[in-house]
Amino acid sequence: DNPAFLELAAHDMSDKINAELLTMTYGAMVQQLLKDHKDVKTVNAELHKMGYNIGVRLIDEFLAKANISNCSNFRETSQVIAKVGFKMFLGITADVTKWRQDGKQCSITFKGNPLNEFVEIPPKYSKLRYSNILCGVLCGSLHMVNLLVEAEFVQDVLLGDPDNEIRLTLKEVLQEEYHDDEV
Amino acid sequence: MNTSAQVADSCFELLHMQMVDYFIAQAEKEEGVGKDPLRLEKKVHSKLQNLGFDVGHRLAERYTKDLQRFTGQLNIIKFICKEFWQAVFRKPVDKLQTNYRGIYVLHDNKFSWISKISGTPEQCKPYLAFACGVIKGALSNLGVKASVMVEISPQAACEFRIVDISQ
Repeated sequence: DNPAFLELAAHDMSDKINAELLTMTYGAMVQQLLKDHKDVKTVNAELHKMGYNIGVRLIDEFLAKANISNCSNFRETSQVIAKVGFKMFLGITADVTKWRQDGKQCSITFKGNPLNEFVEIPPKYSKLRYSNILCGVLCGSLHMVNLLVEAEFVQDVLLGDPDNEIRLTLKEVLQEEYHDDEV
Repeated sequence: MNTSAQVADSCFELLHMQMVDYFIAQAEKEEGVGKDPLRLEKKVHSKLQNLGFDVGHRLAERYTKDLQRFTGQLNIIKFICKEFWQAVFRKPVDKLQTNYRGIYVLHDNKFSWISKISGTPEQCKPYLAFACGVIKGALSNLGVKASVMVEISPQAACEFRIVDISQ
């Protein structure tokens, strides 16, 4: 499969809206969370949780529309997330880099981020993972295809880094178990 | 930002649902579950509406930056019904009614933000508070101080009632 072709196709596969609505709504939500929870760590966790809940539903649309075949390993899965998933839902392209030797950890890097537009982080919130919802989405959607992963922002353009980088670590491949039962 | 930047609408829809869920959970935490459902509902509604107000205010600012100043309130409402509605709710309003004295009723036969929610109109209610806020905020940005209320019928048909409260 040619990734460039997949990317192109992915963009047209879902109904689109202007990014501003998402950007501003998300911004307002983060502000609200900061107001409700004084502790930035709690805010990060809330965003992750929201993302997880979104991910478990987003995966359905993804599988229904993306027309991809089974991924045979984590490498392939990561590639599909970066090339097809990011394009399809956020309209941006991402790259998979920094593979660890054992093939269980990689980084998804991307330059633009629709959630980040118009945003500046005051110094007192330097521990805030503003786009942490994306990590949640990754965990939630991959859980639905039996991959238990951890996702963490390690670079954020908002904090002055050159790229956005999410480190993705595969923790476990869940096995579906079926047991005999009486009929 | 490039105004043509686009994202999948499901991203917004799912985020919106999570927001509503969050506010309900938060209100229950603060008020106690099942204590006073009406109070709870009001609290959730007003919080979501306030959040929507900010968003609508900013969106209107962006969407009108290249337009000429509107002449008269009716033209502002028409802008909301067509361009603004299209940009935010993905289709224009189906019908506009007015008494020409500051009351406008906007009919949307299939309101996109709740078109995928299965439930009675009553259950859909919290999912419209944010939208009401967005409309109210946009109007406020364009100089119309108004209250926005909504009636829901089955099949996601919605009737937004805008009342000019500046007098």
